[in-house]
Amino acid sequence: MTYEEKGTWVYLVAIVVTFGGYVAVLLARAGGGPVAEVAYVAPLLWSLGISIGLTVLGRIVVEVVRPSEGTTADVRDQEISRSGDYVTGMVVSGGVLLPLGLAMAQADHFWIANAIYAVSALGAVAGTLVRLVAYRRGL
Amino acid sequence: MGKATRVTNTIRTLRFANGEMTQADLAKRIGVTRQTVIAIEQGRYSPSLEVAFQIARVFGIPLDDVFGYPDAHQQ
Repeated sequence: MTYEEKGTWVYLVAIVVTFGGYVAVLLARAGGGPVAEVAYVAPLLWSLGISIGLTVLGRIVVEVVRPSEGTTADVRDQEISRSGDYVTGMVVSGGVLLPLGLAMAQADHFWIANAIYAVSALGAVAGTLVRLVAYRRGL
Repeated sequence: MGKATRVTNTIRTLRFANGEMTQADLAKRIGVTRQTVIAIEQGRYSPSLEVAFQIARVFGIPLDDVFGYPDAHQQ
């Protein structure tokens, strides 16, 4: 497994863990009540910060445990990365219609902010999955 | 694991015919990762034209002797 592929796995895990954790925190704070009334800003910012930290720390730990032969991305890594970025862009550009619609409908800030976060996370997950499939099955 | 490209190659044979060159050696000489050489050999990745020429140059043979592409009627 190349350095870039390992990084893709780490990124995927970081996104899934932090977004999943964020949703769990919101639901726990809501305690069965209306989730839109939960103070979401701090958990959301923490979730974003932790995902960055987890990605950096995860890459370091993975390299310590299973060092790569090199850390330079080659032409295949770059092509695979572009494929993933393309899919992320497609998902986000389509998904942005959701928060846009919510804003136009004058929905609560909670729903608009969380729709943006969810669409971003979904796009990132879709892009990383495409990359991982390309690494395993071919481009 | 299915093949992602119809481009065929004889890299594995050529490596053994050239002093049992390892995948790591070939990768180093053409500036890619060993995993990329493996992916090319297994038909999971179609190399760029530049990388293809570099591989042919390492073995000192024409591009056609390294890579092939089946005719339409062979599909």
